[in-house]
Amino acid sequence: MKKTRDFILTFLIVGSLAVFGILFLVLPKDSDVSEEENRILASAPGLSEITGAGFREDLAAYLADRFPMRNTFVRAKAYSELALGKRENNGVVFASDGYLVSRAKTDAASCAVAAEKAASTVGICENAAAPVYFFLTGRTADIESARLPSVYDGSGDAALHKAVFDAISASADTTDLTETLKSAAERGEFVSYRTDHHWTVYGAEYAYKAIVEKLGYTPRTFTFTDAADGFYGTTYSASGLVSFGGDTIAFAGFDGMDCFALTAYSRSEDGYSGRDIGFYDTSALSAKDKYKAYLYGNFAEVTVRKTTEERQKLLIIKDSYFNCVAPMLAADFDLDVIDPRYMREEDVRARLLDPGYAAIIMLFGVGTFTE
Amino acid sequence: MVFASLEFLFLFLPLSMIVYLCCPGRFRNAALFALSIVFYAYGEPVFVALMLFEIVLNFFIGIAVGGKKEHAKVWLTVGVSLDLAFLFVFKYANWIITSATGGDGIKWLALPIGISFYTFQIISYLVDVYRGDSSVQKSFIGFGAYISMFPQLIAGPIVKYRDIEAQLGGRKMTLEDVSAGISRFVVGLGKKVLIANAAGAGYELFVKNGSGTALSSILGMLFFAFQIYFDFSAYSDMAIGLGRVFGFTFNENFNYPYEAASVSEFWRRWHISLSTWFRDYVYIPLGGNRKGTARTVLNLMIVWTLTGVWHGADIMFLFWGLYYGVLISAEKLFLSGFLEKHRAVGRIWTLIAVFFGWILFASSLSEFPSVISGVFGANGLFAQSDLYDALRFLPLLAVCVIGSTHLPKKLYSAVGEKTAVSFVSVAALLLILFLSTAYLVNDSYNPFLYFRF
Repeated sequence: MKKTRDFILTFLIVGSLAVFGILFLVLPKDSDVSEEENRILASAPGLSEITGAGFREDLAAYLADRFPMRNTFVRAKAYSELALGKRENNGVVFASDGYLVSRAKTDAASCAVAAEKAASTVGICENAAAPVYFFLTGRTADIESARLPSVYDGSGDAALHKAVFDAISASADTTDLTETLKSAAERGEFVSYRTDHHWTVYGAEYAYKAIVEKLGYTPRTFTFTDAADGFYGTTYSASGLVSFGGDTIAFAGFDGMDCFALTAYSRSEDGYSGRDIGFYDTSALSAKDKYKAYLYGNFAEVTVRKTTEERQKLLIIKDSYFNCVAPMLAADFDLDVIDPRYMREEDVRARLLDPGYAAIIMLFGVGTFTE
Repeated sequence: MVFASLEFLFLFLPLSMIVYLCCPGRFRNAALFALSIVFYAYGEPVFVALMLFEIVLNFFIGIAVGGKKEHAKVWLTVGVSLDLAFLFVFKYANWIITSATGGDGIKWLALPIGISFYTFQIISYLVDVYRGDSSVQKSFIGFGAYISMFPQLIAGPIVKYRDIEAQLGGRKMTLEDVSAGISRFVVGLGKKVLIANAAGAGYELFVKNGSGTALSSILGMLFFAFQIYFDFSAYSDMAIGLGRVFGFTFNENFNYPYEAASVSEFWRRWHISLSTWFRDYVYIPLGGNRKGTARTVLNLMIVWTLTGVWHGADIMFLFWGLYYGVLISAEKLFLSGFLEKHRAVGRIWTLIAVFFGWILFASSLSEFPSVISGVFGANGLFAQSDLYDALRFLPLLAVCVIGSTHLPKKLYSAVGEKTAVSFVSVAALLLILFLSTAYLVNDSYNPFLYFRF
């Protein structure tokens, strides 16, 4: 009996080690891109570099990135943390109603770094030719704070938010959308995704209303249609691929939405190259990152023009949060939408001096400054 | 290479077992030597030359020490001095230089992995040969295999030559040994990856990035105490387990140290191979406790100073060693009678003493005052921000406390021999291996919000 047991034990354990080692070496490495992680997976270091300094790290990274059943193991670790009663994994809190909420570093040093990033972002608008209005939205941890565990201490999040807000409001007319969104969330409105760090179109609508009211107009109403469900976004990935149900992506619509020309510009060798896009990329709905359906993702610049008439032009400086606000604002304004992370800084500054804009709208989420 | 890594578990270990298994008996020492050189060179591609040099040098010195009586002592002195000189230069020279000059020291003079362990093993061999406790190892391959064998090369236990002399001469790879060895290895792997690493995260969170309150500081230092215990004892488990797989029986290195009823007893249960090395090769040659009270205390202080700095070239390790030297001297002189009669008090005394010892060990000179004052409540008893994280880590704390006692082993011994349970334990070991792999893979999991290219 003992011999049988010893044999089974040895066979299974040593066998598992050998099998996974062999599978790693032998299995084809099909995709270089990890959809879950939004990055390129490591490739095999050349044997010629075996004496090089980085060889061991490269080999370790290659083995870990291409380990057989990698996502299963990541998920197993996450679920075992859950089973141990920890309501958090990889810095993502498992809040109520299936919400996955990212934590950020909120110590004094991190708050200072975030504040500095915010200050330098708003700082590019120093000599703008048109009035600048900054709109700031909080992180999901601030907006959905009612869903977090009762013992969770939000003072760090509040300090981070305040540091960023103070840095921005020192230089620009700033509207903080966080309280509005927080109240909406408490009323049960679906303003934040459960599995992604962005806001939903319903949250984005509050931003639209705030922008339009700031400019002195009356907000329109839109029709919202569900476009896809089964959206598992960034916090799903960060949490270790844990989820309690996916999200639904909805599109905002209005009459006359087909009379528009949108062009997306990406950086090329000596300038920017453009291609035609629309408000919504329906092909993104069948991939993992469904949020990319809004405005086809992030580019150096997206120009939105109504083909049938000339209207006032707004310059938008933004991160990815604006992508779902774009169609709503486009109902009444032509837009030049710039993402400063993808456009050359001198081009951004030059554009700010352009006198052709009715106003310059900056829209950012606090989370962008903590990256 | 470290044991708790995907490279070791899934590439090196199965390969080395297969190579070793396929080797005929008389070539097994050579196979082990060669595999160990590859293992060491992977982590130390440059300083592997130093280890090989010391192996060659001490092989010949060992023969000389075992030779003519008149010259044995000279050769012993030459050998031990050279070995200690290498250790001193590579481990302590930079510390001395930077402390004296305040500069950066010599960049290439880095600490080769495992040098503290293999140096002590070499010295124990030379001294044992001189004393006649061991015979000379006449095979270079055999000697090389003894010094370099990868199960114990990086983190011990410090294996005395005489303990495995017979096994070097001939051993079999039996199913019983492989099964028991690999089980011990997997248990050690789980202790390291699932418990020690998690406890380490607790220490980082509560002490390094914490609020500084008493709750945060004490909780954090408790996690450090558990991290270092589970980490180090896990490495010994893995070493002993792997040794067994290859046919060697190493002595136990830990014996539930947090159950000790005196600080002296703690050190008979913690890193046993180190304290016995210092006892056999420093304390007893200095006279031990046989030359009067004053000399005993001096001998103890010498041994403990050396033990402290053996752990690292930093002033805090020196203080840590002195701290234990004082406590153990005090126990020897006044307290041992009382402690023996009141074991419960002794256990509390030991846990408190060891707790503060770990603060000395873990903190740098600049961090120490703030950690100590935090523990004593200088920043308040607790903060709201502590509670969420403290609750999160409570299950782990419970696992650590229970895991450091006899309880799990007692439970297993009571039921383990039953057939059904012994098969369930196979499933448990597979689960530990699976989860450890999951945690190791997760270490490299790094999702980005936006695409990184």
